[in-house]
Amino acid sequence: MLDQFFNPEGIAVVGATPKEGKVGNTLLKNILSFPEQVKGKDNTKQSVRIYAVNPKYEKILDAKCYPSVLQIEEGVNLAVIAVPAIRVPEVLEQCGEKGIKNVVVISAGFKEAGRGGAVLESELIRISDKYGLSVVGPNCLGIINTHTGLNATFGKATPPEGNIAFLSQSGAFALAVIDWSKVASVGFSKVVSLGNKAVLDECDFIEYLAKDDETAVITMYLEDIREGRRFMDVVRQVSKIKPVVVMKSGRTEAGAKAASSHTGSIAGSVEAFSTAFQQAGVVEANSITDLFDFSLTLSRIRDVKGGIAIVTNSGGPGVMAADAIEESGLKLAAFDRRTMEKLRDLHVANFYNPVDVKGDADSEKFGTALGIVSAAERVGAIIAILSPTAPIEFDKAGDYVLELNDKKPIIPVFMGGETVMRAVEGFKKHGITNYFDPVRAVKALCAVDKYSESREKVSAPPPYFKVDRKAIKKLMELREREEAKMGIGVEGFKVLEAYGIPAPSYGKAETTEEALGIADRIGYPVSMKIVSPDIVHKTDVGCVKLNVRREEVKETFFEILHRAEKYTSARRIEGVLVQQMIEGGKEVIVGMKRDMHFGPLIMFGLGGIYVEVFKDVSFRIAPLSKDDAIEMIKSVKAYRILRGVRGEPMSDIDSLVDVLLRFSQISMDFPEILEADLNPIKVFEHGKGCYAIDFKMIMGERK
Amino acid sequence: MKSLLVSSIEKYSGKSAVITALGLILREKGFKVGYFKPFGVGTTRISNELVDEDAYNTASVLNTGDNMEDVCPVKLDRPYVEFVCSVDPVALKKRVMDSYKRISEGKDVVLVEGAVEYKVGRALGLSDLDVSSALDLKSLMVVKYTSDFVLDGILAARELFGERLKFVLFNQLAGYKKVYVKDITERFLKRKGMEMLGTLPYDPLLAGLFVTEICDALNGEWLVKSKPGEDVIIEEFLIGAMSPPSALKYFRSVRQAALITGGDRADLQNLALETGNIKCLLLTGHLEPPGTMLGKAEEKGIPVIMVADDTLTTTEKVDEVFGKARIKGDAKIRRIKELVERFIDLKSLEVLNRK
Repeated sequence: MLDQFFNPEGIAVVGATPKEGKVGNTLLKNILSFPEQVKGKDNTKQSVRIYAVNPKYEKILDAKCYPSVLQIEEGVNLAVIAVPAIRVPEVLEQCGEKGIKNVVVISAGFKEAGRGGAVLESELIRISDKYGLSVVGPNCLGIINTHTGLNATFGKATPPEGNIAFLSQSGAFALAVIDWSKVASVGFSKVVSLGNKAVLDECDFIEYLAKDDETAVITMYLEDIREGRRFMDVVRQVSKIKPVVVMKSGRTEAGAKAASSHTGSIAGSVEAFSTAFQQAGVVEANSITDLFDFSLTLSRIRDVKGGIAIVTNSGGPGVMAADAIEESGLKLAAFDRRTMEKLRDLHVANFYNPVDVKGDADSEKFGTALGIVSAAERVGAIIAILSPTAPIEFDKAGDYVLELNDKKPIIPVFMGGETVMRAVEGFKKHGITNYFDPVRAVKALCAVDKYSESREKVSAPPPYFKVDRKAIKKLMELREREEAKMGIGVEGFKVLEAYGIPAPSYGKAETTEEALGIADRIGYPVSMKIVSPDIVHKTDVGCVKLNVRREEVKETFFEILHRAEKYTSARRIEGVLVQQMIEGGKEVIVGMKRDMHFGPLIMFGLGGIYVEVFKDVSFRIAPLSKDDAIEMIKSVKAYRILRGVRGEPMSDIDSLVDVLLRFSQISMDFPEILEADLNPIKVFEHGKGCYAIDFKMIMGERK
Repeated sequence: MKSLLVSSIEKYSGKSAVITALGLILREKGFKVGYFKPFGVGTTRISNELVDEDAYNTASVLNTGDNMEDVCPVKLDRPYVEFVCSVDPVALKKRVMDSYKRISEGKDVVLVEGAVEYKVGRALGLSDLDVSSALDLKSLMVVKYTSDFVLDGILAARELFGERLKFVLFNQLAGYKKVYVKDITERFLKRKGMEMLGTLPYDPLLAGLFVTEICDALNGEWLVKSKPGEDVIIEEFLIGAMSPPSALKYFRSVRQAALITGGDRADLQNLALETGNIKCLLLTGHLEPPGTMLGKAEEKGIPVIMVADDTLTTTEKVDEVFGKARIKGDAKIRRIKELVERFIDLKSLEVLNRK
């Protein structure tokens, strides 16, 4: 479908004008520079028809001009619109009538411009739905296909050909990147300025580009993601085929605030975005430098099979690289005996990794060392670092890199200015980036490593437990009938029961008689706690009493209520929870927040009052597979505590995995549950299980 | 003809709400219902007529067809002390008696509403105590359950009203106290010779304010108007000063809420528009929000009001008007009627027993 955007046979430029400097003028000029012949689907040659649309002219530049698209006699399958926003709906209607299915709306003045604009954008969406139009924009720079020479943007430059597809939510950033790409020799396959994403968004283009042979890497700059779940699904599939590199702005509070007033996007949680990216296999970049370093490296290196070797003529930068490798979680390769012997025979200063050929080495010696290392077994990639010493000839050294790069991927770090220029240009011709800073080279390799790791990961489908869904439905209906608003408190334990999450026996008491009755049924001692939506930290205000004996129940009941009434209005107190006393065990927390973009974000961490200080928690977006649950538990620092410290027995990790999986299922089964917390869960030694001591839940409208 | 005086111990206890509901229920049962409020202190001008606002509203809903001059014969039109010094109590009393006579004509039931609380008007001989004895009316005390000590208030009133204080109705109950009030208070009141008619639960809708009422109270400027005919009732307020991820939890746990936040907090405004529970934005500091947000609000039909005050002052003003909400609009009237039908033992009210 989207192919016609990039390989159209007939293009109409609506809003074309002969007036120099106008968007409609530059746009038409760029499109007219489209080579006359392009490859058709069956490799035959066919010409692209280009029409201008403007009622005031009969001809603009070399294009015949029509009053509207309706008057164009022949077929058109791409319309590029650059008329004022207010006229866009009318033009879209005409495109629909004419049967033009693909439209790029360059015009600004939509949602981004305020109230009138928002109305126009809804109108645009309505018309697109009516005719089934695919629309890029509005408020965008346009699209480019370097391989056919189509430049449907109003920018002055066209980027060089390459194998990176670039999608940008910011038109201005796209413009800057295109301008820079020529100087930097960064080639692109396709460029799409997404604009307001009224109809088509990144997901549509990722799906299209996955099948595009000219694209090896999909690179994106995004400010928001509207369909989080779809984004995850699409990227999860596509990233198995080719890397998807994303720079998402608005990651911090200040950034999100700026993005929110700029695009009207809602700020999702930082955790949700990075978790979603990680789970989907996105290669995340935090700066423009990273975005293109990662993309360029991934466009030629797909994985690193083995450790990293460093070959250098200068000790210092070699050490810098070694530091960066360890810090990023990569491994320095350990050489086999033969490699070391060969290097020793070459008389290098250090024949271990990093290999130091010494400052007096010439290009041949450096090249020979590089050759030995690239033939070594356990080496996955090489960082070739050169400082401009007197004997080094960079051109020659560069030739070695280019020659050996096919054997093992080599990242050149030729450090210097003018002397390295020619070699660097040579690299560029082969799509190889040279770095001045070894740390950048390592970071790029690290991105490759992460990508290949996530690509190889096979996740099992999440398990499905047989549960009592009806019990929860009943609870929800009950809540709806209740006129006064109260969060689900004690009733929430029924949810746990229905889903097989172990919890202590309990009951809610509104009078002392009730409290005694419940405690008698449970058996002594019991714990007693306030039930009120206003009191979150119950212990802090003395509203939790543990180890309560029979003769203390009445007195404790009053004490808890008395304390609570000091804290909140009696109207907001529902009663007292009487619970079976669970002693001992280690405390953990499992929580869920339904993210506005990605859905249920499950959290795991060690419990206790210091949880907010240490923030030692891990996240996953539901549904969780068993591996996800295990990883979540293992990835918190406190895992060591659960494993047992200094002779302690190991905690029952399996029971926690089970709770996480069942909890994940609740979050998937009931979209009306917006937030829920099992805090604390007490976990006992292996084989003795765990208990959810407290449960809180926030419910939304029923779906 | 039967009459009942509806009185209260404290102001804003819900007398008008109860009368409105009782009146509508009785009318449905075929009674000709009259409404009378001897002494009104909330004087205002409606279409150039000096009226008690509360009495005017109730009379309009019950649509008794009586002259407003008779519905509320004595209106406080100057400071109370000056009023007390300048009027002739005998003449006032006569006016009240005459109006009551006219109101009662052809009615099966007259619901008499007390002044602010039962002692108000004592200096003029127009307090609920005076009215109940002058007109020989049985009283229903509407008691807002603020704490357990309201029992003492009821007892004190009973000593003054004597046998005429017959019925008690607890209003705005919530939480665990509901059970207590039912079990304990009922027995206690019976022992003291009174009858409990029931308890009305606290209802956020009744306590809520219409967006237009809020806008008026804050002297706000409409940036996005409510859709015509859709003046929403706001049940609670939220102050937006935190970061969006922290705010989300609060945004989710409210219902029919208004968000008070700075005009420059586009992040919170956009989030609020997405959550669905927030039905109105109150933007403070006279800061114009970004157009993208207004466009979205318009699309979703969520009113946006800009106020000149800062967030703190706005919150104080809102607190001031909240809890004084009147029973206005079909939704509220329907709700109070439902609640009274469901929770009040109407059979005990002798006024209902026969025509």
